[in-house]
Amino acid sequence: MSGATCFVDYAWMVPFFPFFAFILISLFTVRNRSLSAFISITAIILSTVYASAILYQRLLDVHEPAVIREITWLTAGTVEFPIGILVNNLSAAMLCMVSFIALIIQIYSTSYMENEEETGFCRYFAFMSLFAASMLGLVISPNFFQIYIFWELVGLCSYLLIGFWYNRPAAASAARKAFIVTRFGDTGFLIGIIMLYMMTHSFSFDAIPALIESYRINPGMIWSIIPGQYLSPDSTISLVTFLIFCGAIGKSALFPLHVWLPDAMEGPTPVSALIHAATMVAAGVYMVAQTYDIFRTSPQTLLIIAHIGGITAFMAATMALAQNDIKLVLAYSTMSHLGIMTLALGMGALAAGTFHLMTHAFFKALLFLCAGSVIFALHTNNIWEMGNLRKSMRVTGATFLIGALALAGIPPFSGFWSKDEIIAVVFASPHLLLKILACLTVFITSFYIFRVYFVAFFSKDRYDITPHEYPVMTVPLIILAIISTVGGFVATPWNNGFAAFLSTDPACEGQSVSYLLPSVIVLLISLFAIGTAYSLYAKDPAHYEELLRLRYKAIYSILTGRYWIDDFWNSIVRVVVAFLSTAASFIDSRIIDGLLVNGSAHLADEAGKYLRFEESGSVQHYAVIIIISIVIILLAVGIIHGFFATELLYGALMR
Amino acid sequence: MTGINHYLVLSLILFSIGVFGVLTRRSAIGILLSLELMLNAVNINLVAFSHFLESITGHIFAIFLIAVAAAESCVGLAIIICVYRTFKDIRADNINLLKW
Repeated sequence: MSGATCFVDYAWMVPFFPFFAFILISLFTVRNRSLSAFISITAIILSTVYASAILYQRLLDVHEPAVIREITWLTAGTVEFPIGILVNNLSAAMLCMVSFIALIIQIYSTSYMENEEETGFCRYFAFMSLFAASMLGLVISPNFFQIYIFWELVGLCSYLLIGFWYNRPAAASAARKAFIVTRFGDTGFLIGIIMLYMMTHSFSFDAIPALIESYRINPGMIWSIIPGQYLSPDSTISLVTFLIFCGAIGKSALFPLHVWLPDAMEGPTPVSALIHAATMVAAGVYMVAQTYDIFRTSPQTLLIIAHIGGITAFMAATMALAQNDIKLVLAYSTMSHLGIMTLALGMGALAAGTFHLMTHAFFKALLFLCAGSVIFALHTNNIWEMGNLRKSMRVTGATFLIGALALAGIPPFSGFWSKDEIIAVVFASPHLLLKILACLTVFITSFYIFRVYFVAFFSKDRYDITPHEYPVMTVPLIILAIISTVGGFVATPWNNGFAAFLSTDPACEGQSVSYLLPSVIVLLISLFAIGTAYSLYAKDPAHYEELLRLRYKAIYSILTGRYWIDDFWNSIVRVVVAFLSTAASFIDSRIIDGLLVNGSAHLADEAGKYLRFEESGSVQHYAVIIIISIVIILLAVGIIHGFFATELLYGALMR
Repeated sequence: MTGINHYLVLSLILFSIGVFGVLTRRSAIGILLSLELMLNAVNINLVAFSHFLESITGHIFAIFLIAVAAAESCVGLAIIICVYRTFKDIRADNINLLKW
């Protein structure tokens, strides 16, 4: 084994560094803000360097097989729970992306969070480190068991960081909402993992696809749990893969569990950039991509995935139109783009979906950080209290424009190349609904982001302070803007390096898709949308917004009502929870407390009242009871064994 | 000829007398004496079995038991002295503080 392979074997070091930083900060340096930030950033720099080395190693020979190292972590009966690392091209790229963005955002945070008191500041960096560790651990997970652990850990970090300002009721309830809503999906995920294990007796990403195929051929031998008896093997496989996908629905904020993501914007903006735009919400998409061979076994599930993706993309984009909060627009935009990635995966465009994940991570992090810079300067999220910022905040304005162009898919920015690929795949497919949804989404996407841009950065200022920019915040913006500008050239239609990098089997992605027509259509639609946004919002935005809201009152009430999906969930939860809580309360107060707890206490109490007269205090009285008991026991034993032992003894004596 | 049953019956009688004594004697000294009787019944049993099974173990055990019995009656007498100092009385049925 060569030396180079050896260091890939230690890929667990990548999540280990930030985890160690988390331990250090939370145990020792909660009172020292500069030291905490230093530890956190140093750890993530080490991770980034290590991840880059791994990525470089993978780039040297893209056809090298994946490095999988697993050990048995614990054994329960016959079930072995493995834990280990998986380094293939996808996870290497993801490791590098996650650690790099985490690094950029942590540097940015040192400035953004500087007004926090010191324990809050250090807590922030501790949680950020823990998040980075969990996310990196998720990325290198080689099996469902481990990915589920880290899946929950990133969920926990998300909860902790959304509720970072926990004394604000909105933040506290948003954190709870995020945790509980993703839990819905995670329940499906867990059931899916267990069912998958029953089908295949394996957690491993690597082994499961082949085992599923053998299950399809010979389903009887593996399990006899309820669904297996009533469903055909094909349906069972679809059900299981769909349940696994449920995890992604919750985590990646896809329809219908998307309701938590807008509320998650209560957290600090760098948190939104890192967790709720670039990395954690993409974990669902990443999980599907990493286990794509499993999803490939069920075309039905893939079709469902594609439709969920398309619907999410469209609905989220439309909801972004009616928002006045800059972070909310970006949140809906994130949802929409996660929908687009999911759509791509559902269409079978693994490389395109993953590539969009990567480019989106950079330009959406950029947009969020720009928003953070504006919010930090103006202390407001409302775009109608901004305006003309391109003059007063030059770097932020310029980088936001780059991010917006990338988001809208204008060449040569990175979003164009990735979105173009996806749209091309959708156009090549026979699904009319998805084509329409994709086109509409493209239009709306460009429109809403340039609405924000023109309202916040054009027209005239609507505030009475002079906004400032800070170099610690603008340098990360510039770095991300550069990547968002040139990053797309990794995968151009004529030289798709990324697709070649991802698929160790080159034939796999060799779909003959025509790129020219879709990209021209997409480009024209986007430019038209930008033009519309310019004509409406560049000069006198408030007037036109008013006009639009009056004319399309019904549509706006749907959009600001978020399609009433939140209300739908609320009412369901209310009915179900009301029923369950009444039942649980009855069982708890009457049966558990009343019958079992108090009942047994009463029994002992009453019995004691009468039995205590047995305790005379006289030793001889006790001795009588003991002797009588012994005689009874001896007689009982003798009767049961028929004095067998005694006869044996006599047999020995009489010999 | 005397068989093992004779010894066992003797031991049984001794043991029963001991039990009866322990349960009925009022004086703590009497209880202690009856206890010795029970122990010696056991000793007879051990020696008898040891003899008839042709094994030395029972004999050794009996000797140990005698030593332990001596120690035990020491402890018992000491307790009785303590009890007497506390209650000015050693009648077992009068010492009944340990109750409801």
